[in-house]
Amino acid sequence: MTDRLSTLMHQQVDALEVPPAPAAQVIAAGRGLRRRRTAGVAAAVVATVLAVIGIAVVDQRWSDDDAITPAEQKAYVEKGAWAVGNELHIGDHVVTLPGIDQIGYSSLGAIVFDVRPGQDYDSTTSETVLVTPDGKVRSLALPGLDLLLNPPATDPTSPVIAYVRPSDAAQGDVVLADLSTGETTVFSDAIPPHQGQVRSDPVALTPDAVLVNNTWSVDRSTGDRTRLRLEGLTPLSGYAHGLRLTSDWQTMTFQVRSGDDVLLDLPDTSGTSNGQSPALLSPDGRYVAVSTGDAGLDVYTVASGRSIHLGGDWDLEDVGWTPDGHLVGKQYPTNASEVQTCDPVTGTCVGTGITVTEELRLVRGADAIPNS
Amino acid sequence: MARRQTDEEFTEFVHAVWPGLYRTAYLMLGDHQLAEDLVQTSLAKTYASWRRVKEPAAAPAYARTVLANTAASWFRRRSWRNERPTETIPDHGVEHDASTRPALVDALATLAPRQRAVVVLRYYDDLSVREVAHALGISEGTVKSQTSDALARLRVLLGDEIAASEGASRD
Repeated sequence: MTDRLSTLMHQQVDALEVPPAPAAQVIAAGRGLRRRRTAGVAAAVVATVLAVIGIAVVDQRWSDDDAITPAEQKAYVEKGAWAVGNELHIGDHVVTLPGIDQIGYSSLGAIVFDVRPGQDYDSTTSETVLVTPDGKVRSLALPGLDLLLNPPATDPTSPVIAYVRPSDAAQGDVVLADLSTGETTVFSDAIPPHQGQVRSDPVALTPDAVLVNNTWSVDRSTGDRTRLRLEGLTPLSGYAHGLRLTSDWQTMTFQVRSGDDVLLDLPDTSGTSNGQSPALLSPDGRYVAVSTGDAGLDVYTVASGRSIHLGGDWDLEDVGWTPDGHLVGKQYPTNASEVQTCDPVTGTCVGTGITVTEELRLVRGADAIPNS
Repeated sequence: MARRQTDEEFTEFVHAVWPGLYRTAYLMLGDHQLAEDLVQTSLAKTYASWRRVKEPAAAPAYARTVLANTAASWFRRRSWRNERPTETIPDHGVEHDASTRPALVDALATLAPRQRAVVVLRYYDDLSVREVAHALGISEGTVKSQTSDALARLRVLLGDEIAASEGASRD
């Protein structure tokens, strides 16, 4: 039992000689941090006011006056969305939000998810908003959306999002919401009770089904539930645009699959695993990036199997994807460096002109972790 | 409604939580100086955001979450990520004499940093999978897989009875 591991840990450190607490130094450092935050908040207030003006849609629809220009849509698709702190960069716009935990792509814009911690699990909620390519923040008044502890499922080619909310019968309702029309479909009690809570269930979208907790597939037309077949595969396989990125327990290899069909076999990356996610499938399912361990990463085109190499200081942990499958990131995650987008076919990288020191929050796509 | 704490009260708080946080940090990092830096940084952040702590009783848990978050941000640095787990695992598969097993801290040092943090938070601080996921900013699935991988390695190093295959069920 792991009780013995727990006991051993306590035995090892309970007798540890603990240095005296430097309370005065802690308070001095804390005061410094507080001063820096106050200055930062003052600067952010202006941007927040500008962003809130855009919140006009609570029924998921908006008028022609809110039309997004082709240039804005193009910028969103090609440059994507990424965040620094509470600042979301989307296409050519910058928006400040109250908080940003995770970002996903829909065809209408970025879906931004933020957890609002409470004093305990039950009082913890979340907020999910749509930020459109014109930089406007659209509130999503969808039933039970604020209860999620994992972001809703999205697809960069679709206006539909999917999630699971707790039902009155202590099961899970699967909700599909078309953000372009406001139409919502609810399959009541589609998810049975299980260990953990449905609020935390990861959800993925395919053209035909909503996949929940890597365990169930719920038909998008009928609501019928079937159990996913994962024999020989790690349950941490990721999904993007209906495709599945899997890792094999035995061979430590990755595959991109459509249903049971293998579209692409990826090379053995067992030497690169450091408890991180060593392969990422783009949200549109067209490309997969694989860590090469020492320097750089390889990017494969799923349809052709061709690959390019991004060398130098590019690291899989520091890249994400744009809606059209370009990589986006910066080469030096905690130092000042320019945010770039890289073509997954040619390997050509283009600077955005924006230099950032802090780490970026990126749309990572679907990942898979070898279960070594 | 949160009230403004005095520096005297916060000093008292630091003295109360410092030993526990230091031990957690030492198990996570395996280094006394780094552990001290981590706890000091975490408590400074706690001081700066003290108004988020609505109940005094919740303050130690809040500080521990800040510590885990801070550790997670350290692990995301390239220098931490380049730290690889020990490649060669001593063959203790048939050896059951506790006196000859590597010390626990040495065994933990063979794990990737994030795996170390997951194991320490779960089995030293006794957090649930959900709480660890929240503290480290990772998914519950990742916590489970990291726990499983870490326990498999610890079983090899410390013996089956120390870290039996309990996996992710301790939720």
